[in-house]
Amino acid sequence: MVLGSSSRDSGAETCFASLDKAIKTHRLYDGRGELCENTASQFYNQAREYLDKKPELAFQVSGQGFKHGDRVLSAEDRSGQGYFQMFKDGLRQISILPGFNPEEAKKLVRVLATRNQVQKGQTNEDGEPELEEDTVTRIWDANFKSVRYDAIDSFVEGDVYVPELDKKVSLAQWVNTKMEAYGEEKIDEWQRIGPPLKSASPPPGIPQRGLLGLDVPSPLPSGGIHNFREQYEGDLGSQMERFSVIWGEMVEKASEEQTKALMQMMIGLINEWMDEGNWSGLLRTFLVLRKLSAKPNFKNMVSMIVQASASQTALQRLKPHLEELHPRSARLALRFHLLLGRPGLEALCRMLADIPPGPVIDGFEAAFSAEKVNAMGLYLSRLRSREIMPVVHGIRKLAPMAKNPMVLKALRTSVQREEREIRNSALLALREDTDGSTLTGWGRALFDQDVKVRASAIRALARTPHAIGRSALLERIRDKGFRSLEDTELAAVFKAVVRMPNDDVWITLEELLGKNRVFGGKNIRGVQHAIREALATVDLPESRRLLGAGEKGTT
Amino acid sequence: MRQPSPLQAKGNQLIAGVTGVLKAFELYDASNATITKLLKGIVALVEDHGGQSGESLRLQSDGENFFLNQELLRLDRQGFERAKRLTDLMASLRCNELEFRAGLELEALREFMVKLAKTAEDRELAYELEDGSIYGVSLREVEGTTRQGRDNVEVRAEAGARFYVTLQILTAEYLALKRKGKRPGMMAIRRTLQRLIDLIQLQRDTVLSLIHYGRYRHGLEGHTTRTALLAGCIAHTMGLDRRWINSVCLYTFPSTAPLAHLDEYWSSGTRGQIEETYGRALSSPGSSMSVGAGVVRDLIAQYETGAFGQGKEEPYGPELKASLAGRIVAVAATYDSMRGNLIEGERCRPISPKEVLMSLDQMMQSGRLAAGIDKDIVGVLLHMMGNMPPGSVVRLENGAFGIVRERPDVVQLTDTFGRYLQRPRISRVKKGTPLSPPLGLDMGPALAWSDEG
Repeated sequence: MVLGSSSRDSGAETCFASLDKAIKTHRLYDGRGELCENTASQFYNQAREYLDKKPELAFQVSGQGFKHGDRVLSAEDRSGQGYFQMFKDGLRQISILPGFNPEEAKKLVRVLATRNQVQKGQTNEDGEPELEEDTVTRIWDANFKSVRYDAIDSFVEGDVYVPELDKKVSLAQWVNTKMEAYGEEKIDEWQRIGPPLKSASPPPGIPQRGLLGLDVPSPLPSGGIHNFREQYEGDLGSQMERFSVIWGEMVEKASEEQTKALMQMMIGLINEWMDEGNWSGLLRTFLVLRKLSAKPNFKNMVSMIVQASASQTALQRLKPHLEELHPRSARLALRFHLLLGRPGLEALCRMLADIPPGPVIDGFEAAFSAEKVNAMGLYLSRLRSREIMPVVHGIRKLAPMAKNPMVLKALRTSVQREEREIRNSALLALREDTDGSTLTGWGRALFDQDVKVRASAIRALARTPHAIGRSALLERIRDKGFRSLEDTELAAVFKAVVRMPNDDVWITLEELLGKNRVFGGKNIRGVQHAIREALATVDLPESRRLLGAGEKGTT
Repeated sequence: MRQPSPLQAKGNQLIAGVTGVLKAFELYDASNATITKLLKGIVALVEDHGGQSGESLRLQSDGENFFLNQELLRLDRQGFERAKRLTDLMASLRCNELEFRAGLELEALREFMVKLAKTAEDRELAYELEDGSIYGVSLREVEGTTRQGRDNVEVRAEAGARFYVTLQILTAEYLALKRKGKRPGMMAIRRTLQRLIDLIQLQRDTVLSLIHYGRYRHGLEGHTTRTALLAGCIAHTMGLDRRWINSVCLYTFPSTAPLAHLDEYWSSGTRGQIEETYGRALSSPGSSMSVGAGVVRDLIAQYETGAFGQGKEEPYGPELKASLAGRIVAVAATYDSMRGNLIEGERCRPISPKEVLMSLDQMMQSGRLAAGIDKDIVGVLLHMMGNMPPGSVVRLENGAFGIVRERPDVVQLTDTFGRYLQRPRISRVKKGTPLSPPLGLDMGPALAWSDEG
């Protein structure tokens, strides 16, 4: 909604509308899914278009919401945790500059859509929430290249507890008081009572008149910088190991009561990482827990933690993160679940069941292969999905393993599914199977809309000595729609059926050969021609009889 | 829940009253009963305030913020929406203060408000509203609405000092809450640190000079602030990006927090006391260790600092090195402790930065560095500080004295005869002699000094 009546910049308004939509979508779907991606890229496209014509796209953040120029572009939402919160945090302007790219667009939407988090029970003495971060700290952390922001130090407006006064006072006022030590007034004092600088002496080791350069130090050599950066990155990776050593020591020294608290702390940490989808954190934690479980003192505790935080239900928290996992992280995720043993792997496979074929599944296939884990479980899980594509994908992957009894059973079950794509894929995977249920499935496939599937069905049924094959083919022949099939298909059906002869076959063929209709005569002649061609391929008394009768009939 | 201060309530009522009258003028005649009721409300409010304090009520606007008698009004969303009519009107008339004087009368206020409403059509009327002696209420433009001095002419040195002071104050609160076993929010500290890290990236020397201003009397909060900022400067010199600099700075707070339990002995605790203090901090998994952002960082910081304090070289054993942040903070804390001569407590006599650096260099050369002090990081510190660290008292080649701030700039305090100048000046110098700071020299004004100011 556009409020106010000042001069309009429809381009900026369109950009804001798409930003607003992206933020709200992000909040609604927790930043996950295609819809969030699409709205963010829509915002990027609008901003890009605007920046092709103008040097920057600037929005002011006011108590009424976002503004461009004097125009208010959005009314504040009722919850009050939206744009008004950004204003309260001190954000006053956001400018988007040329060079803005899709990644920054996504990051900006994510930063603006994130609401201030208050940890449970984290309130100060006044009952106000104790925040770890706000909109401005998040924008600063994001370190944008093409987004500038302007913020006032709104936090200074609050009160602060001053231990030396043992009370709360206005922070701004107290800063001003303390700033007196830096004030010019002090300089006047120097004139009167300042210490005589003349009497100051150099530190030991520096001659009285020794002169040293005031040069600005050069930057460190690039090798040194690289080394420190590597150390820091490595550090981030080993934080959990450090934490585990500390946690382990704390547990060893803790009383029974404290042990419970420490256990809850670890469970809380694991839960937090599960909510964040922090695979590397989870992996390290569980590696550490495994190491600890080798010690008798920790065995029970570790098992309780694993039970509480890695139960089948608890692991479900990871499902949304799997759906949007970067393929590179798939191996971490797999390794984490492998650490939990068979139940962990089963849970992972179940969570992956509904994910459509694409980069996530490709990533996991690569991860299974890299970890030398048979991906059969993953594909079998996908066969249980209610979605068509994951099942079809699973069936195709399982086809080469069709001799495995578990796979065979699962594929046979899939043949019974109502969705024709699934049925057909399963039948193709079970090409060699002669089980009754599969053959029945092939019989059903004779009626499929796809000519190739029908052709496969004919071939499959022709191969089997089972009576079901013959019955299915005869049923197809007796069907009303049969005569309208292409000549090649008619021929294939008849050639198949004459190779599995019995009385029913001969009777059916004789009936068809004996028909002579005025209407639809063309169709029946085509059918009779196909029957004769098929009969000519076998040398049996009944086939010769029918061929002879047919010739007489024709003459 | 704390009750809002009386001024907050008055401010809200005053804004509601004034905007209510302005809105009512669009619908009713000036003598209408609704308008009279609203005007009476304003008069009563002014009378109530004047009766108690004898002072007027000054409603000032600054952008979209309102201040009542210099106190920021914390308006809610409806408050901001309501106030918009008044903000727009004041902005269009280029005024920022509505003053209601004690002894305000109903009819005078009515007349004033009628004219105020008409200024939308006739801006000339605004001039008649400037004189408060006519109506007992005035509308005008005044200088310095806000009390923060937050404006564009504020130079970096002063801004740096302001943020430095803010961080010290917030750190004092953080330490006090930690001492009570609470887990304080870090938002304000993070916001202030971010501003200071921006400054480190722009003018690292300004921050380095500030951290050389501090002694035992600035307390544990002073030591924590200086250590955090020095650690940030070291991390910046190492080429770490600003998020990493930020996390190195943040590491300092939990690492020194347990020392708050030692009261005035925070800088001179024995090995046994440190062991006990840090041990206690780690053995009380209560509310202070509830899971939240930074809990892992906090525990690691406390554990490593405690271990270093007890003389353990490898807190985790030979297989796992102490964190880089921990090693940086250990060097920064040691440097600050030595420079401020903090172990001496109240008797401390500040030592020149150059002297501390020379000592550290000697200790490094002779392998006498304390536990946890990484010589590579000491190397970075020495490199960053150079020959003449910012914040050093210096004698220039011509005999004048000053304080190094943004190398090669020196804030010159005296003339060549050593007499204090009327006003310091910024001089660009090539060489000088570092001096031990004389007792009684308060470097604060020189560090925040600006020729532009």
